[in-house]
Amino acid sequence: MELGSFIIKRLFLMVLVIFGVLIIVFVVTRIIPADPVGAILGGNAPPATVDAMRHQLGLDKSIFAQLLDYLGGILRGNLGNSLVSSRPVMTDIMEFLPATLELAVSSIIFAVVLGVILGLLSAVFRNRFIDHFSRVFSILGISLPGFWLGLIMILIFYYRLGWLPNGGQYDMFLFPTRTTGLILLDAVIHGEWNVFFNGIKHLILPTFILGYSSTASIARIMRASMLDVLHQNYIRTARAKGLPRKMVILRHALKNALIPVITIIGLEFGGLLSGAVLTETIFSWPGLGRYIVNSLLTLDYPAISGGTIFIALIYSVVNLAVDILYAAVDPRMRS
Amino acid sequence: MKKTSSAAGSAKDTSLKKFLYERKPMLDDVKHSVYLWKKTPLALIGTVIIGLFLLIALFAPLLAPYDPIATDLSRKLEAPSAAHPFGLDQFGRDVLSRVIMGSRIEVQIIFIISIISITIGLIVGIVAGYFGGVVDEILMRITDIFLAFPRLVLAMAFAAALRPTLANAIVAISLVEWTVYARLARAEAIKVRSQPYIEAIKAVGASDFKIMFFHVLPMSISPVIVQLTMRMGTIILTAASLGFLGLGAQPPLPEWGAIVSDGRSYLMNNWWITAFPGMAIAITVLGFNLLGDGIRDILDPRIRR
Amino acid sequence: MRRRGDLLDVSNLRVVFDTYTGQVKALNGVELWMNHGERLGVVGETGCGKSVTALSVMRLIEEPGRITEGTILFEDKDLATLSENTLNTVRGKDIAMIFQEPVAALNPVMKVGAQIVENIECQRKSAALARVSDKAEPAADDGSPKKHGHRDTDSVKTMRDMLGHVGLDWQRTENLYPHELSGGMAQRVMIAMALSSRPKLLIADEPTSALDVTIQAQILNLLNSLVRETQTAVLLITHAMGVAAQFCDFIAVMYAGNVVEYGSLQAIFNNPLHPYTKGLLQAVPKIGRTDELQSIPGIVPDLIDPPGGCRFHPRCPHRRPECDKAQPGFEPVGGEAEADRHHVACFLYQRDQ
Repeated sequence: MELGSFIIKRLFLMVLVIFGVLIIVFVVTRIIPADPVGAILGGNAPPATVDAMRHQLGLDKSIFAQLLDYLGGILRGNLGNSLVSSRPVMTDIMEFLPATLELAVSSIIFAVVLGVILGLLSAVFRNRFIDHFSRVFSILGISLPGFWLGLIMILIFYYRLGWLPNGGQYDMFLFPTRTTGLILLDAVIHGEWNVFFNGIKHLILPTFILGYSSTASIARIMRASMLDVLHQNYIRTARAKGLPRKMVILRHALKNALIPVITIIGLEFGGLLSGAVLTETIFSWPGLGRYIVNSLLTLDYPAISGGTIFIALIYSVVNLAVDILYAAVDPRMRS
Repeated sequence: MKKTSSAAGSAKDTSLKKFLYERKPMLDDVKHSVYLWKKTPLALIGTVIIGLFLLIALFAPLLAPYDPIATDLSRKLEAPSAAHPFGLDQFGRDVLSRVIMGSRIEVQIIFIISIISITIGLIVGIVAGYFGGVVDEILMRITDIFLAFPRLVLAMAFAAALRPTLANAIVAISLVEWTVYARLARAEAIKVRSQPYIEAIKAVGASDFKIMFFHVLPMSISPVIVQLTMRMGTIILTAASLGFLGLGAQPPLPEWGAIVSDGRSYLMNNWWITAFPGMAIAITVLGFNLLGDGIRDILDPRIRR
Repeated sequence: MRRRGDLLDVSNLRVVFDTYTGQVKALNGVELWMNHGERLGVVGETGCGKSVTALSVMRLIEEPGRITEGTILFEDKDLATLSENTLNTVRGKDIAMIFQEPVAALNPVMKVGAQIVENIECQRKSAALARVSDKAEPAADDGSPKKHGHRDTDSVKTMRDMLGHVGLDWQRTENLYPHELSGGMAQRVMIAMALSSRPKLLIADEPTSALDVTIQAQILNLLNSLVRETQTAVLLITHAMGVAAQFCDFIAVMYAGNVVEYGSLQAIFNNPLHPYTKGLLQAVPKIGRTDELQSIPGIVPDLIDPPGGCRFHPRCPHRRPECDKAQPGFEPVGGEAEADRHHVACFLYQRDQ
């Protein structure tokens, strides 16, 4: 089928792009930094130690040989050892990835559900209260800095009201059984309901902060798209059939209006991963974003490169999935 | 619709009338835009916010009541009062003065990032769109690679690799931001390339460079500028985020994101250090977003009808 | 007021559109009527309000447009004042509509078979509802879900029959999406959909204007034979006099939001009275015609600030002093056969003047 060849073509392009990503990350972590060894050892290390370290990192080889080492390592799944924890970067990432996935998934669900509903209501009840509310909510969503709003929320809901925790995935006195690494899923599997509800409580603020700007963008796109669709001829046809307004909107307008929304979900996911870096920092969320920030601040180059590659990889896969979903939803894309 | 008051010579007057008459469609278009702009109160609010922001930045040294980096540890963490409406920070610096002086840094950030990213974007986009073929393919794949990173993450990596300073943060964001304009400029260049008059100019013997510079560039620049106004809010947010993470402006520079970060440790008891600079970011970004929305609406042919 | 047509009687219909440059007075007191089984052609230039009239009859005018005045009597109901819910039992069921751009009129993400079935189901549901309310029984929600499976196959069969009637092979067509159809095929699908509920009135809004010339004839012939079989009344909107002459029994000529002349085909073609109708007929090319084609001087008026009185007066060769003062009444022409229903809105023919 055409969809099959479309997927193959997209996959091929993705491999090409990932290769480019690896090159950029190599340039950023190995070529631009003037003195990685100095960064690790500090300025006053004796020359012998510096040379030993250069050798250990492979910095005494030619750039090209370094690149080959680096690519070969990645192909074998070896991202090097963290300079801070001395553990393989891969191990670190696997430990931090589930928390990020949990947060990202809950945020994107929050954003899509709330965004679509708000945008839909906004368009259907144009210029009524719900429309004004949703538009103000949306413009604030894309304008308020998430890191600041997160701090204000902590100030209100933790320090002042004491309703919600100020960070972390669960309370420190809990010792959840880990299987998949996804706290909520593990809690359900093992029937640890106290952990589950504790986890949910910890998830609320980060999900809102991370998902808010995406909610806002989705609501805006959904509103515009719905308004556009409502003026299309086929909506008039549906009305001419004598369908009740609710049916016209749900059966004929909604699916058409969702098509542009699907295309931006992929983009929004990129924003979400960017936002995760900030959200995880604010809420002490043990995820990949915080791992990258810490690596950047300590100039832990192997960790930076590994984390960045992983984030780009997740983003590319999500975008691929969104493109395929788009082709599957819109029959016009298939032929 | 006002008639030009005709005290001046009548010959001049008729030529002016003729001039206006010939350009009536254009004038009507401008009038229509102004009308739409006035009818969109949100765009007006955005304009006012941005106007104030620019004025504050321009006159910051006059407006700031105190020295933004002068410390007074004896009065550290003092709560907002009449003398210090935004309170004092952990070094006893006046938060209001820091926020006001910070506006200059934000203007600087927007200005330099705009210039760098538009320049890169226009060059890449126009070359790709004008030549097409292999050149286009290669340049667009490179653009795709940049787009494969979540923006902030790539900007962070660049900023850290270059060592975190304000200047490097600006470079880092520009290196991420140009892709938007490259795609736009490319689309525009493709449109222009296929126009018959380009063929004609080529036949006369104009060089590729001349065509790109004198014919394609002017056509590409206006959609790029429009897009830029819509992205300014995002640019400020990204810069502030880098500042907040410690990967941008370094202390004691009063960059807004960095001040929010300063206040983080004192959040529980001294909220003002965090709250006010954050609000400044929020209001400025809101202004740019409202303005951008307004411009988009005014230019949207569907709304124009 | 005397009832003029037993199927549809539109009187004094006024529609405005609020735009940024001002209020467009699109319909300025439209008058037209028809009996069961008749075919009425509404002709006029682009922008004269033909399509707005068609859409208004089904109350499909969208924001920023609205009906400000007038009655739209359909059988025993005034569609202008009916509640949206009651109106929905008339739409699609008693009055169906086909449009100018058939591909755009079909939902792009729904298979065409499903779109026809939807119409059939919708009409059965409203028929059931109507029956229930006739017997004054307590409301039976919206149709009984129990019989759903049965009804489904029934509707599918009707859909396939209808596709056959319009000359399409259902096996090849029912699973196609609109973008996979040609304009002609899409219009056939629209006709199948519109006629699937056996409406009493079919409104065809420029059904052939967007199609190739050869396809136009095919579609008109198809429409002709289908409505003859079922004795469906047709309100045909067209800018082509020739099409109207071929298809219709009665003609209403519109100009700038008014019906300026109305009557049987013979009356309009053999004895056109309104200066605009005369001009329009002189502009129709015909084989064997040797005189020069005449165009009507002047331009279509701006409907935001329309000329006062008769809206045609600035272009009228027979203008009289009263023409820009008051709007001429829409009055029957004396001395003609009653069956011709010949009416005209022009001071040249007002009896009491």
